[in-house]
Amino acid sequence: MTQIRLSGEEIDLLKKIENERRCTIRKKKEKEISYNLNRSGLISLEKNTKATYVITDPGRKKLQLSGSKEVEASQSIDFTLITQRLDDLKSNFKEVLQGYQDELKSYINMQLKKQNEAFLAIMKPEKEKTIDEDTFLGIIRDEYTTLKQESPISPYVSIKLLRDFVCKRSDLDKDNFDVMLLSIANKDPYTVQLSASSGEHGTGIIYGRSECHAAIIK
Amino acid sequence: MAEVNVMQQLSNSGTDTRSDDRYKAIGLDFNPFPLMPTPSKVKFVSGKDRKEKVRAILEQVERVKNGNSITMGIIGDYGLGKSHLLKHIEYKLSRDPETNPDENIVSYIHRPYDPREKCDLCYLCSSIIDYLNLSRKEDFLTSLAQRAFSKVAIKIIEKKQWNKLTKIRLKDKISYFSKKRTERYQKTVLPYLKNDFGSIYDMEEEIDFYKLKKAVIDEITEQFETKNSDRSDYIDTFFFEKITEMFFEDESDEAWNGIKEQFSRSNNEARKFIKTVINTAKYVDYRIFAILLDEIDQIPENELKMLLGELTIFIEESGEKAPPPNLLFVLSYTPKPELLSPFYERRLSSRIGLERISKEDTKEMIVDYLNEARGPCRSLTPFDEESIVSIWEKSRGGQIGDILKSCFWTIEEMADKRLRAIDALAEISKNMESDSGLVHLPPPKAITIPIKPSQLDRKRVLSLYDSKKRNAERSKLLEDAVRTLCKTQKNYSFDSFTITGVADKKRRLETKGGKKKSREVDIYLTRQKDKGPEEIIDIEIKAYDRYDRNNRNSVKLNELEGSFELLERKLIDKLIIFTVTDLNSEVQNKMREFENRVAGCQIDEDQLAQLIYSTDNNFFGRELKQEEAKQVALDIGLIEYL
Repeated sequence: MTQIRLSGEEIDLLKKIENERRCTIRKKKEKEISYNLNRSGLISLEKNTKATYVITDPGRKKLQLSGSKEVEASQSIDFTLITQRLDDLKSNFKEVLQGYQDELKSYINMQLKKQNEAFLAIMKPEKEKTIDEDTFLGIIRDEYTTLKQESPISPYVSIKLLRDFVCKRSDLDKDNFDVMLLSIANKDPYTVQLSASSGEHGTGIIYGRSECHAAIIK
Repeated sequence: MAEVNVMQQLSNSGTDTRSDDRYKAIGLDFNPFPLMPTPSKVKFVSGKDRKEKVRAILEQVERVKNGNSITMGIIGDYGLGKSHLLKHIEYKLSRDPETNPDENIVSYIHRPYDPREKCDLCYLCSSIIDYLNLSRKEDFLTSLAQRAFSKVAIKIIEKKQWNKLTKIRLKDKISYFSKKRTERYQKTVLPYLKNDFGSIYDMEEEIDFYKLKKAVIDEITEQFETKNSDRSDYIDTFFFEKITEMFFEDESDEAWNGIKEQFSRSNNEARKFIKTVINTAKYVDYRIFAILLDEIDQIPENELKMLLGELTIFIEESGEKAPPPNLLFVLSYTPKPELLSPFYERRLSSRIGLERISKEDTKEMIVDYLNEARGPCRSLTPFDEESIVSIWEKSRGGQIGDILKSCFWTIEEMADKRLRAIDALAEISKNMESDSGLVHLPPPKAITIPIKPSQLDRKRVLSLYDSKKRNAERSKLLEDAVRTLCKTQKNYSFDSFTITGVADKKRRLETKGGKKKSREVDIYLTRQKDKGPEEIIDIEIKAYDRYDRNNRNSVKLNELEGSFELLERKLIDKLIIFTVTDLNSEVQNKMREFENRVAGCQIDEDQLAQLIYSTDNNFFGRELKQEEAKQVALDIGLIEYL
């Protein structure tokens, strides 16, 4: 059973209703005293009336249980009620505030999500594509053969040009290309032969201590 | 006695130039691998790829022989063998009997750049002539003039226009004498000239050289373009006249100074000069004039552009501006796109690209190097498959320079510690990792190449000697070798004498009142014995066909007539007849007359091979040192007679 602390006035009123079987409560009393009794289900409105209350079974039970102790307490100290009220208010406030907070959070999240989706739709890069080394080697050999025909330093070809063509064809990004080419050159420096050559700084591949700008693909 | 002393000196000197016993245990005579990146074994290229590249270049050489000028590029990264390939082409064209080296002129310019000089066509011209003088062991332009004089003289004699050659004397105008003279020319002068263009100097009695010079200039002016310098068959009259002046010994230096001064004036003059030289070479039957320019990428960018611009004018690929048809021009450079713009690129007839070599080619290359230090065979010993794969992998996948260096150190480790190749490699890696900062140096003996040729080199040298069709060409080969040997020992104190001087070329000594005005000395050498007076020694070279079964080529008295005359007139103190064939009985009888003032030094096949091998950079790989020269002189028996 819910532990409800009743004030002296409320106990008196509950007693009065118990004694008189029914009790008409004036509006003022109804607001101030009967609120908790009614809310707690200790009294209930008589059928077809506006202000006549009857005691309920829980009310009767509560009255029996509380006895004289509660009556004494209600008579001796009033601030218990105030504390009770304040606690209730606090609890209510917290609940309301929590409600607002949750609502606000969900609203912000929803808005962020919408904005994020819109932003990602514009800005988010396409999913990075990766290919295996054999496929990569196949493509790079193919492009190398074509470029070799026109290269002024044939059989060497410019790594920058090779990268541009291979990336365009395979949707690889620059970094992935460099990583894959270096990986093969390290494993098999005969198949991928890197040469320092010459070229614009930053357009080659750092291999060993130098930047390589040309390659032969076997 | 003298020989014993020299032997003792050598054994005490501590310089053992023979093979090292360290390597015997691993089946080699010496460490055949080079430590330095400088090409040394230029006699061969190894592996399918490089052989293919050489074949492609030689195909182009054939095109040049057929009258189509070629300009080629060799492109490759550092350490892939560009210089080796170029040096090998030089070797093929100047030493390999397969390419008829007597028909070729090859000038190899390594990095045509000197920071003290402006690198232009003038500088290039000077470098080309300097290189030719050095490599051919003769004054190249003088030799060109001699050939031109001989060729024109032969032509005139064959046409029986002898009056164009001789001083007109009264008796010559009488028809009887005229007929006699013509017959004499046809019988005596012509065969000599055909056999040896240098023998024209012996005909100063018969031929008026100044008249011949005029005839030569007339002939050239008639046959070649002399006005429009853009034309491929252009010969500049100023330069050509100066070249003809170089025929005369006393005018030679002045003529060369005049030539040099003129072509140094401008690139245009230099272009005229080089065209004149190439076309003159063509006239005297040189079918190829090859200019090999190595490492042109080392030339500063601005100067390179200027030089390429000049060369482009020179090597325009077709039409009237085409280069002389016997020109082979090869450039080598590293792959740098800005180096040769498409403009220059288009002017290259073909381009050879060098890549790293495969495992198979690596194996073949190692076997070829090993064969230089043992009998030829296909065995990988002392290496094995596993160690070769390991060497290949460590060389960044076939970088030739790194492979050879690895092999050098592996052989050293194996010889020192008797390790298997793979263990030796592991040892080298371990040493590298625990490097304390000390530079690793090979033991001094490791870089000593034995002065005795390997079986392969012996074969190569003898094959070159036997490929010479004329006695004069064989004699020239041997003469250069003996001269180099003697020059290396100049000022070196032997036990009882010192060689105080060796003439750079043949010398003519005046014989007043003799049959002829002057006589030629093949090798003019001065020697001093025990602080006594300086003595003149004449070494006469007679290098005839070794396979002449009928002994027709034994040395005959009439061939030494001049030398004996010099001896009689005491213009020389001693005569040494240096020969590969026998001296006939007449010569031997004559020698007895002069007792110890004449000696016959006859060398056998092995001595011939050793002499030519050790005095020729292309075979030996480097300059002969004084101690080594002494050893060779001792081995071939020359010291005994000096």
